[in-house]
Amino acid sequence: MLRVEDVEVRFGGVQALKGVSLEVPDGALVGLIGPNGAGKTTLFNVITGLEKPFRGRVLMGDQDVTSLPPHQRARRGLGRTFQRIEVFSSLTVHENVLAAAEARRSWGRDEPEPARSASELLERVGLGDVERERVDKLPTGLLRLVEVARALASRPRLLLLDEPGSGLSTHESEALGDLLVDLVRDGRSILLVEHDVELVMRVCQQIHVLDFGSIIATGTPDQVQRDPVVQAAYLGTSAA
Amino acid sequence: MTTFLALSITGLVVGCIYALTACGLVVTYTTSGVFNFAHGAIGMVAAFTYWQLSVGWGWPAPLAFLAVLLVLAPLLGAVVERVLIRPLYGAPIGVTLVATLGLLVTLLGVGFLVWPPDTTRVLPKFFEGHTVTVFSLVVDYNQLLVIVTSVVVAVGLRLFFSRTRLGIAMRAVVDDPELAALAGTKPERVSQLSWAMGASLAALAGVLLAPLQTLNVTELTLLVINGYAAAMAGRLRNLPATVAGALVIGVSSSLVLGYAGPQVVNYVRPAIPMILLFIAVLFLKQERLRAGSLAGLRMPRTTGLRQSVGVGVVFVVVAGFVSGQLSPAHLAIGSQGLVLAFVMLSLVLLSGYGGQVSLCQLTFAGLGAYAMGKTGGGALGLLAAIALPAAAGALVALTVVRLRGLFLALATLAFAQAMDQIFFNHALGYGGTLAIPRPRLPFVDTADDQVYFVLLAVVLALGSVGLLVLRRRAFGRRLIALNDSPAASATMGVSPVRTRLVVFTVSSAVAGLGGALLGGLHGSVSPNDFLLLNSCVLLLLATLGGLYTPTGAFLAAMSYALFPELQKLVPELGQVQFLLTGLGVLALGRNRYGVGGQLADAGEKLRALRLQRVGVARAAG
Amino acid sequence: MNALELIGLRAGYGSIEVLHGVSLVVPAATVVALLGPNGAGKSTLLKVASGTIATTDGCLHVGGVHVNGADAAALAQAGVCRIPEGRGIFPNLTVAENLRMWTGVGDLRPAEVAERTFGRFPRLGERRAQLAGTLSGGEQQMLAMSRSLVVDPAVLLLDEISMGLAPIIVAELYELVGTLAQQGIAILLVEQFAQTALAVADSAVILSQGRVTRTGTPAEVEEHLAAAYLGGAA
Ligand SMILES: Nc1ncnc2c1ncn2[C@@H]1O[C@H](COP(=O)(O)OP(=O)(O)OP(=O)(O)O)[C@@H](O)[C@H]1O
Ligand SMILES: [Mg+2]
Repeated sequence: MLRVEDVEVRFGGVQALKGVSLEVPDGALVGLIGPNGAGKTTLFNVITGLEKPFRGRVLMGDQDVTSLPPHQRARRGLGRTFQRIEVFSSLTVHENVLAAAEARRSWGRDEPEPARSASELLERVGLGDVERERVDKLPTGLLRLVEVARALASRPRLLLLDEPGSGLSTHESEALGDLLVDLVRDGRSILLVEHDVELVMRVCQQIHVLDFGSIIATGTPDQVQRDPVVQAAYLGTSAA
Repeated sequence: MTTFLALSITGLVVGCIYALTACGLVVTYTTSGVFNFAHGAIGMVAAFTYWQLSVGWGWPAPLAFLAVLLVLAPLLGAVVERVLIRPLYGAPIGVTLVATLGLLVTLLGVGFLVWPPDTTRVLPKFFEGHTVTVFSLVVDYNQLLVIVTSVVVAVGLRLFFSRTRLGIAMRAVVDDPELAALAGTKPERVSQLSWAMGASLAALAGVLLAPLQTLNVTELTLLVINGYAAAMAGRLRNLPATVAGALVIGVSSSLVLGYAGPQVVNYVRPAIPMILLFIAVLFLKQERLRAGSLAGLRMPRTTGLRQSVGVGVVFVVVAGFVSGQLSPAHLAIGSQGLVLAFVMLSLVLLSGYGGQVSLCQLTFAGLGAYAMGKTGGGALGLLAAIALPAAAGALVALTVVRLRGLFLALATLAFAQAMDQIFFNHALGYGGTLAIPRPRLPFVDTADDQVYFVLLAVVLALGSVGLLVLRRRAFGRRLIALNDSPAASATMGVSPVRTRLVVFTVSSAVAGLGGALLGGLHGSVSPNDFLLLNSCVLLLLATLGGLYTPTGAFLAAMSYALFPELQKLVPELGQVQFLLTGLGVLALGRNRYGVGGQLADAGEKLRALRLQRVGVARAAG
Repeated sequence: MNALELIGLRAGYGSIEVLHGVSLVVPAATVVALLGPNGAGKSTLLKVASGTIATTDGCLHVGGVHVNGADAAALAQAGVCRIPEGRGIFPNLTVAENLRMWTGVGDLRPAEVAERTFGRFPRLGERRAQLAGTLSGGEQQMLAMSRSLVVDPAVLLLDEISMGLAPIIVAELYELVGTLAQQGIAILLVEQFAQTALAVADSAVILSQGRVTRTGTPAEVEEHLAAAYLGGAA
């Protein structure tokens, strides 16, 4: 579904990504973890086209999308959420999601009833009750769910989630995990960045660990959790 | 060689004054996020006050100088911050722009009122008669003073803003006043201080500039525009780049004007600052990083389709009825209001819904009128009146579409001014006029003023309903979404560039059509009808009326059209016109969505009351 | 003595009341965990306690002094330090300039502030000239948290400090919270991950729909958590 090849990003003197390659197979839920400042969000920005890589390629399916602008990539089935929340703060919760469904319709995809699908999605992520609220009244945790619903409204085939679980309570985060598993079962692929290790370990089939702009480990949750390098860099000893 | 040196020195001095003004602009912008259009006006008032104290009342010059710089100007700045700026914290850029535009108008008025232009006022140069000779070139002390002061101020400011806690705090409170308070700093006090400082810098530039020419209210006020390009060169934050930009602009324009022939000078000179500004804006890239605030705009509730169509029909019927009752003079006023309201609809779409602030709507209106006049009216004329401005709008949009907020506003400002100077003066001739026919329609005679009045009402109603429909549908939501978060919009498949382009083009077309109808109303247009200043007034009024509702646009336009009439009744009104503007702008602090927003709020309350009553009735029954 | 005390406190935004009479004490040298579902009013409570939002009724005492109506800057000077949720930095200032802002309270010199911060978060030391708004999410959170290290507060109000931080850093931070409490600081801790918070807390409070529904030792409160979260989610 997605292949990232040898991506390098520089900010002035800082090398935020130093030749990262990874793959998200069709229908897989892949985790991307790593210490703060490792370059996870930067990689998301490169994949979605918000950041130009200094070197390297991004492929969706077998098409090279490295030179496409963000909205073209979105139309090819790429959706994402943001770590620093980017909701449409003048709109209601429902309108936020509706805007995405309508956008999808405007680029010629079949979307017979955007308003209904928006409501259904909100129900699905557990925001049915606050549908009519203005979005700037919601606590941060729920805003992340609004972002998830909005991303889903474009019906992406690949979904990039940047810390969707932060700010959620234990219960909400469990529900989110179930939702992710559901989505993958429906045939979607997901790349998940998250510091809630429990959540990541529970739902992901494969995990990449990024540190200082390089992948330092790849494997199943078990393998990664037992890897001493990962423990030292990220998990700490207690979490093992 | 001596000519070259002499020109360079003159240019350097002028450049230094640009640098001072530009630094003042940068200071206010970095410390409050507001681009202060009234910066020059503050300098003007300071220069006149200085004249009043030193020449008028005979105070010793140094005393007057200090009094203006250290007492009066900071006081003015602090008051402005308190009454005008503080209530607008977090308001959209269009609203704060309008607030300072209003301040500009008010101060201009004060200037004219207190120092009527019928006497000539001249200030002696500082250190009159003292000169030094550098490389066989005589430089007077006044020039030296300007250069030295600018250097000291620029370096001092730079150190102040990067090294001192207070300077850093001034920059911090714009980002997040709440956090500043948590860190133990009183944000209101700091902002007030920074406005005082900005005003003091404006005063310094004004007082230094004043002895170089005869005092003139308008000229001193608008001179600051030359500083805009320099401020842009430093992206409104970088002081050294700002100063460098100012010096380059000063010296190069002095050289060009010195060596070029008089024709070029007359023709190009007024446009130079704007052309430079446009170029500077085009090379801009970075914007301010978004502070963490997630508060959105609270746009007034939009009315439903049926309701707005109903209101539109009633509006037209009433207009039809009223048209029969009005005297020709009143009919003309009413028509003027209707057509202006239509032009303002272009602003509701572009700035209200789209969040893009434009200061060149009347330029597009002018293009519409021009196209109509040149094609001789008829269906073709109407088409041209829409197509030409739309094409121009698309062109402008293509070059500035990356820009948002303030930078877009400044680019449109430059465009408007350049068009004033170059196109309209040329196409219509200085002071010339172009006859504009009215559109011809089957069955009705548009030459009849009464019919034309009703026609305008119909056009306005159609435009308003169309706009409301647009707002309630997907496109309206997309505009608001794009304004709230371009990144998120792009990642859901919306092309930010195309969407902005479309809005800008449509809005230009609306303005163009309005311009053609306006021209038809009066029968002709002249270059003076589309001046940048008028565009600014249009934006100001539209914002006061409320940029988010057609009703607001209608009210604003009508009161504008009615003003001359009121003035006939109460002649003193002309004197206090500027004060009224000032008061209007102050009212923005109460409701930043203008009169339209206030009305919508009232409507909302009524509705809530009614619902309550229905609820009570149900509960009782 | 109670470093922070709320008595029957009411507050909200405009006409909407969020806290309907909350009473709560945080003694010196104690960590109190404030738990409850999303939207219960926890962040609002911290905002009231730090003076960002005014109280409409009830009493707010800091260090035994009645401080209703004092603004945020004054309370900060009086020793209250709140680290707001998610956005505790100035994005258009550099890291070093942000740290300079922290010197508004307390009596550390700028150099000492930098030293303490970079000692705890070396990552920030490498980024000192970078605009804070371009830092990674976690780096921003570290920078926000650094304020609590350098202003030597009497009362520390922490709103979801673990949000967006790597587990290894979270563990370090909570260790730090314990140390700070031992130094005598009264700490009120809001955290979505109840277990994390309860592990360091001396006592815990559940807030639900703007009211305190339970107070007790961490163990006592933990039993009632599930019910509070499920019941209060609506
Ligand atoms: N615009 C920028 N200019 C300079 N440095 C930047 C910029 N954007 C990111 N960086 C740096 O690049 C590095 C990677 O940042 P990124 O946001 O990708 O980290 P991350 O893995 O998402 O971390 P976290 O888990 O904390 O969110 C960080 O050290 C950050 O400071
Ligand atoms: Mg990140």
